[in-house]
Amino acid sequence: MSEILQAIFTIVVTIFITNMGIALYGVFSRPSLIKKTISLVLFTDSINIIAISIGFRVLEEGYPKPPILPKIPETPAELEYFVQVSVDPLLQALVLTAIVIGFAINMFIIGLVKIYYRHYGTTDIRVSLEEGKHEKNN
Amino acid sequence: MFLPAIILLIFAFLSIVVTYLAIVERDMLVAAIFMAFQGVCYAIIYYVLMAPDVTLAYIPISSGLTPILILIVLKKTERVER
Amino acid sequence: MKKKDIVIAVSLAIMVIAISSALYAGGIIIITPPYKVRDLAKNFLRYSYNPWNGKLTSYALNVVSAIIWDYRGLDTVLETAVLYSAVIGITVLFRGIVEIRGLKHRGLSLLVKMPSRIVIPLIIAVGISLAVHGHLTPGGGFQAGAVATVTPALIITIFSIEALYVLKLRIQKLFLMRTIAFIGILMISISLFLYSLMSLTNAYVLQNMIREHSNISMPHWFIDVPLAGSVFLYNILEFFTVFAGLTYVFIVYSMRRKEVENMWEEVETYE
Repeated sequence: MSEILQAIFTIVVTIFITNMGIALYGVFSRPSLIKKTISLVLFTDSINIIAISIGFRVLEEGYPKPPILPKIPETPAELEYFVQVSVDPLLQALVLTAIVIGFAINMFIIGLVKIYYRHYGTTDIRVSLEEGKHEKNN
Repeated sequence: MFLPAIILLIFAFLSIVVTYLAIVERDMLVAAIFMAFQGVCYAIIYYVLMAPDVTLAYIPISSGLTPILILIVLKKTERVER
Repeated sequence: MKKKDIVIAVSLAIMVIAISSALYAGGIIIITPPYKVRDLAKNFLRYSYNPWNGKLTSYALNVVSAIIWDYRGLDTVLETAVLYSAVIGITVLFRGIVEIRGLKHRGLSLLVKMPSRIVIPLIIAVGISLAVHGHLTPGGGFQAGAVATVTPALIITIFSIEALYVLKLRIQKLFLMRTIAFIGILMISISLFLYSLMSLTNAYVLQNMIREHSNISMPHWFIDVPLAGSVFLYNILEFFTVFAGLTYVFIVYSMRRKEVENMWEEVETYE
């Protein structure tokens, strides 16, 4: 039964990698700084979801459980069954911190965009590039 | 076993469509809304991949706070990309 | 958004699915999840709530919370420091702003305002319950803080920034709140160590439960509910840190023109 899940899983991970590629295109080729920020957010999200899919597992029968004990275990055998069916918790903890740090960094980037707009009157990256060329020629 | 696989496939399909539209769109207000849609798709995929903790952190941040942050900045700066 | 873009997007998605399924059928790309988790993850799962091995457990039913605040605690303290310093960076960028009350404002229509008056207290309640139950059910400090920050963000977009001033959420107060909460996290992380210095026993920094060579621990049982010691306290304080920090940023970013027109002026005269 789990072969279907494995086939779907390959397709889904390929889709995440494609999403990463599309977002990277946005970071490199769109002129607006806000659009670059949006693309960066999509890029980090795709990386995070690939990290989560590394920690996934399949079982011979049934579907795996989240890494949270449903109730207080009463015997060691109950705990051992939980270990046998649960997915990897470590990657979830790492991704949780990565999401919060990513949001903090995005807030700071958006603040820099506001400062850029205050200085140049636009959020277009080409304006500052033109000015840089002009200064170099003088 | 069938149901999680089908949900996974459908929302991965939607996420690639929405990501492409968010990158290509010139009106950045609409792009922010597409970004929120992508957040919903990824949140459901997180849930299917058995990560409820990450889902709870990801729903408010990606489909609530980041689009609102971008909306506030669009109000203060320019809205359409040239 | 044109019709052409949607057609291109859908055909791109179909193409990716077709190519990857063809490659999978041919056996070229096979990315499959394993049948067994890694040994490290097995240890985390086994010892997160394990009363039969008191020297390695942390008495938290939520394994992710146990990893975040106990087994890999230093990671998370430094991560909170990153969040703290990002907000300090924003403060430095937008120096010289003044809060002015009583400027003209105009929110969205009454149709949006009335439902949001009902929804907003519910969001706060969900956030607090996520923080308090973080060690028992899915949830924790970050999730709770992020959920609760949706409230000020909604108030700013639906009513106005003036409504936050009426609720007495000023930026100085928020800055003080998150500094106190962050210092509280640091104090809890060294509290057992300080206690051991006074009582002449052994303890570690960031210690939660009884460990090797150390017999003191945080409280791990409250009447009939597992408390998980410092995990519970960290979750509450992290809720305040994240909530105050993110709300601070939202207020600074949505300031009106009159409030930011003196930005940098004082600093430039000083220089």
